[in-house]
Amino acid sequence: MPYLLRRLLGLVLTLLLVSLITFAVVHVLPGDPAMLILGHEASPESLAGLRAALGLDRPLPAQYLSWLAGALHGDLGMSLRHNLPVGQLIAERLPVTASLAALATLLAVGLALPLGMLAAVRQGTAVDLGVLVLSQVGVALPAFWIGILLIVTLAVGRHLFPTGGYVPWSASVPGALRSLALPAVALSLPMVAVLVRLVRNAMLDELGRDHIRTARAKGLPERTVLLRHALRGALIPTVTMVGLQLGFLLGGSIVIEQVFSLPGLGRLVLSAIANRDVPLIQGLVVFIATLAVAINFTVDVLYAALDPRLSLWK
Amino acid sequence: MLRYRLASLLMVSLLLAATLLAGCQRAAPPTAPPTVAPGTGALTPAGSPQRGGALMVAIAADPDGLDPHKTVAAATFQITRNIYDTLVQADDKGRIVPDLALSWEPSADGLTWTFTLREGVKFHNGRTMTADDVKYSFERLLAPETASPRAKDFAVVQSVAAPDAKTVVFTLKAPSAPFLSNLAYGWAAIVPQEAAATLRDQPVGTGPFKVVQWVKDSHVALERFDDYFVPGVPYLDTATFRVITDPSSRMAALRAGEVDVIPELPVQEVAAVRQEADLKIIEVPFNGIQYIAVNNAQPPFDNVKVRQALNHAVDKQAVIDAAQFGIGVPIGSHMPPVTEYYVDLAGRYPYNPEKAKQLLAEAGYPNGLETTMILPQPYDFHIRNGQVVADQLAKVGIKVKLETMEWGTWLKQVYNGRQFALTAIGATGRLDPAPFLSAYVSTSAENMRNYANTQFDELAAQGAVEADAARRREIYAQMQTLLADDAAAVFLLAPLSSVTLRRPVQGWVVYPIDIYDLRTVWKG
Repeated sequence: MPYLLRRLLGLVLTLLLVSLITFAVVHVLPGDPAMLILGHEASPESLAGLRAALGLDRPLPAQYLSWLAGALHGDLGMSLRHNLPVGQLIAERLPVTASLAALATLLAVGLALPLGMLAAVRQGTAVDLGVLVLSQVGVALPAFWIGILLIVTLAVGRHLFPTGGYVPWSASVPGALRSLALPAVALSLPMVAVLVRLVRNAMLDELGRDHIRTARAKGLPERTVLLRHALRGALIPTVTMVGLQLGFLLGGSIVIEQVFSLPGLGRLVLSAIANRDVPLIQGLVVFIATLAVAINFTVDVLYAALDPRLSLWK
Repeated sequence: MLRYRLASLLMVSLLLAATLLAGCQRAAPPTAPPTVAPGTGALTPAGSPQRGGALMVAIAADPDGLDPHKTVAAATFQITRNIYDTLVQADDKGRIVPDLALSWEPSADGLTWTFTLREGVKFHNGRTMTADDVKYSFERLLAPETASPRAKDFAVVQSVAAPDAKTVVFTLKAPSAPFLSNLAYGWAAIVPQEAAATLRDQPVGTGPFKVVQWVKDSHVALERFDDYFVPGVPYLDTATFRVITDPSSRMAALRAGEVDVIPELPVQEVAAVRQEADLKIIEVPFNGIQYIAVNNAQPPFDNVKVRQALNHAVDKQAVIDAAQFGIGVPIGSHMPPVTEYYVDLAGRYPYNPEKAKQLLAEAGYPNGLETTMILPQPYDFHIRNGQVVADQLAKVGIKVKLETMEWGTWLKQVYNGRQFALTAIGATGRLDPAPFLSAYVSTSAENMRNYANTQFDELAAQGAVEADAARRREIYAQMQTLLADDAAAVFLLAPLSSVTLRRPVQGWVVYPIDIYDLRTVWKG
């Protein structure tokens, strides 16, 4: 079976499994959505009435199958809490989280590539040691803590940035950038820390290879050797890691959106779980899973582009 | 396939992380214990109120829709006081005063209540409010298809009539003492029929502010309603409720001057805020209590001596100092000191570990016992109470295993299922003691503690219909005493609520119901 087809099949199976597991987990969680909507003083009759209206009294397999049938047609159901289509809620929140993740990734890659290369080229020097120590510290610091630190120093102390809240791009581009700057930095720093080490090690690996020696022997300038020959090889593991880290970014944004009061997907996930909003949890997890799987898929395709030994059609 | 497996693993851990995190969020569970208090510290505007200005208020949770008939969420009613009006309202001392109704008169048998409405009151859509709107609003609230979670507050209503434009007549199935005060709550708001279908997102009321914009999980923006029926009120041009769920971010926004008010400051922040020159703090007794609920039907707590031993083993002031940073007053029964029905029973079981051990020995536990206490997430103040109490109980030989439980699970297992021995929890007071104390009636669905005392049940039935104020006070005093004598729970404390404002903000009033009323607020 061709590589591409196998990957696509795996993608569909993964999503099906994710949806099934989510459905099972949500229903194993104790807690009654009807009671969380009506409050604990509600009468048993009104609770039963609401459960029936929400379709929660039907057998679980029937609930799952009707959800699946809807999802295949792009209908993720209605949120119990918001009384709005799940798809619409996701569409409203996605721009916030997507902007945040994109900015954080840009920042992370933009910082990690030059720093990692620098450390590799200056291996064993104070510069190398400095980069490594900083990256160790970065891995150890949780994003939410960095976020609070940034708020206290740059937003409360100096008023350089707002302490939280979101300005839509459509309202003001500088405003949007200002509102996303601190959360993107907080979210990207742990990612930078991971990527720097990876880029450094991959570069060192490449620099020790025969083709680099050949390139140097040919008398190519060091600049060309590093950027055209060594970096290309070092990019393969880096791209994989960025792809994987994107998934973690979505997870990290759950925390960061709390700290910076951003109305994104992460906030929606939290409130959906707290309210046992089953269709919303289900829709969100499947949506996020689809994103992560799609990112992985893209990484695989990029792989083939970077490494001529792989072919998409074999 | 390795990476696909990684991806699914990632998703599962993401979901798991989200589940765990749900515990950290100080969300607004529909039954969140809210804040209130009649008057001692209510602030009277110094100088003359100035008109104009924009106020920014930080709230901890997004409202659960703005349709007052379709939710129980505290986060909704805190805001909707500014959008809708009710027939009557509670003042800062909890007294019932006119709002949309100027006067009211019960019949001699207590079955018919006649309200005379204020005239010329306008809805935000420009239409004049009449008695028909009142009739419509209560019929909507009571209709089964509305599924209002608060309909049962008005289950006693037989019918509502509007004989003329300014008269509304309620016919009750039975006399009801709490009926009038129930009308003062946000869920009894008067709404216009023509906007009913869209109230959730585009509310239309008669209140002092109209809603300009609601961005979910971000903010609710209000603008002064110029036709509000009180001339010159409100003072503010605009007001915005901004959702900031994280407590440290909330404080940061206040310190940075981005928000003017935090209506509920966590007790751990109070000491620091008192030191800050830019900020001021209004501390008022909260209409509510915190306590350790005991399952009266489960051995060994079915034995009154064991429950009394629990009470003697707990040093309430030490709990307040250690768990609530010294903020709160000790109580002895299920009633906060701010209500006029309160009887001081705080000294009923003085702290006495020896007495506790002796009672345990008499009950057949000379070597102490082991039990479990459930602590509800994300209420850190309840969790701290439970931890301190458990530590104190250990000193008399009661070993308590602590178990934290997410709120949704707590509701199902502890509140509904009554599967617990001890749990740290609170209760928010009502304007009337009847709905508050009825939670201990043996047949009540709310009697999670399985308390059973026929004398208490009889008194509750009398109190709900008694029209004579002095006699009612006597009944509720007896009920509080019974709860204390039976050691129905370990009643700990009544908290204070701490409103924190930036200096220029004036006129914030704290009420014994959970509302953030901006009518009197102005910026100097």
